[in-house]
Amino acid sequence: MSTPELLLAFLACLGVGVVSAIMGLGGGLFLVPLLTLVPSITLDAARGTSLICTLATSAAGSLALDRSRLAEFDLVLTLELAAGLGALAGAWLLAPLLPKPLVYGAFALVVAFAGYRMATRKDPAKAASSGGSAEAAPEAEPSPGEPAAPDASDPAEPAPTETEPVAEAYPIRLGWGALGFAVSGIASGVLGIGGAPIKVPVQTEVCRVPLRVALANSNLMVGMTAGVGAAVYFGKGKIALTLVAPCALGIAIGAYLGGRIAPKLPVNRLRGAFTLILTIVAGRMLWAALS
Amino acid sequence: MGSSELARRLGTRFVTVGLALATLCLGVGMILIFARGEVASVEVVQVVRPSALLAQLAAGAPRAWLTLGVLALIATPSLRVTALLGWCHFENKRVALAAGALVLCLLLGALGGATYLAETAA
Repeated sequence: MSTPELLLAFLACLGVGVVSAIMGLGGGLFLVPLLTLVPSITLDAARGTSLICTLATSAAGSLALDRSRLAEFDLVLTLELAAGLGALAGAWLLAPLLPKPLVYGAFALVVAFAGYRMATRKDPAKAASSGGSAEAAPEAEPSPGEPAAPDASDPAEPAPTETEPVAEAYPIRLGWGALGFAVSGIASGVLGIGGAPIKVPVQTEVCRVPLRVALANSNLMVGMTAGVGAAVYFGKGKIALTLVAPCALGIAIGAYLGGRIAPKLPVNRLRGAFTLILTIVAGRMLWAALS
Repeated sequence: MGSSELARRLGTRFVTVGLALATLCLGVGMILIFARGEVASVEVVQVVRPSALLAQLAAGAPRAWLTLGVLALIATPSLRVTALLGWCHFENKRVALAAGALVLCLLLGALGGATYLAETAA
């Protein structure tokens, strides 16, 4: 590593942070492909470093989300157990066994899935106007860059109260949800990502948790899942130690800037560009898998 | 103040402290790297063994400071879960069991890695 390389890493991660925040995604989806471009960084080191950076962004994000009080602790802890076990199995047992092309291929698949979700994301304004009712709006995903968990007092989407058991508040299917979370944990441990692109849809589609609660839950859970995987990679010495500081700092500052810029951008009109970026990343990982 | 609110505040406090400590240590580590002109010599993937960490911190080794920063980041979610565990112990035994298992999972992750580290050190 040289000083210009470290500076380049900082600037690249700054860009990753900005783009991720505007798109409403975690940085891991971009960071692993980026780090694997550095010749001296192995795939293991890229995964470990990405998980450490995910921890930093998740912790910073959760501080802001804590104020919204939307996260459901009991649901978080129950589902996160499956994700934690998945991450442990993924990072400890599967990651050393799986051949690189398979890992790159799986990564391409996850990024493509995130791209598909981005392309088919509902416009909240259109959803609200078409339905014209308070019920229609909560089903629409927030625009990229929109704060994940705004005012908890939003009457359109009441969060369950502390005394209201979660299982009675939403039609949660814990078994299927846990299965989905185990998959997200394995993906996290094997690919070096937080797993939010899987965690959020599992909560909204399988457990029928309202989106904003799912996003708040996901932010908490991403940190815990990444913590398990990061501990394994750390213990194995598979962390690009010199890159952690510029990358974590770059992503955190970038995410902050992205969050500030996003409301001023016509993000819904930029959805095509976001999808294109994800398609390019998926293509790059697919190329790595095939070559 | 209810136990839920207490756990929430405690968790937030852990995250704030963990994040601040990690930023400080990583910052000090990077400053030391540049101050000592060790940018090129610090190996990319080597972390400091926990047993040698204190001595190397005192000696101002950049790698030790970076390692401590990484450790602080890794420990932060575990401490948060522990805070939540304290809350759900009173609220819901089933969830308390899940939280306890999750803490065990986080510890196992570290143990799994540490076993490898011990093997390579030996």
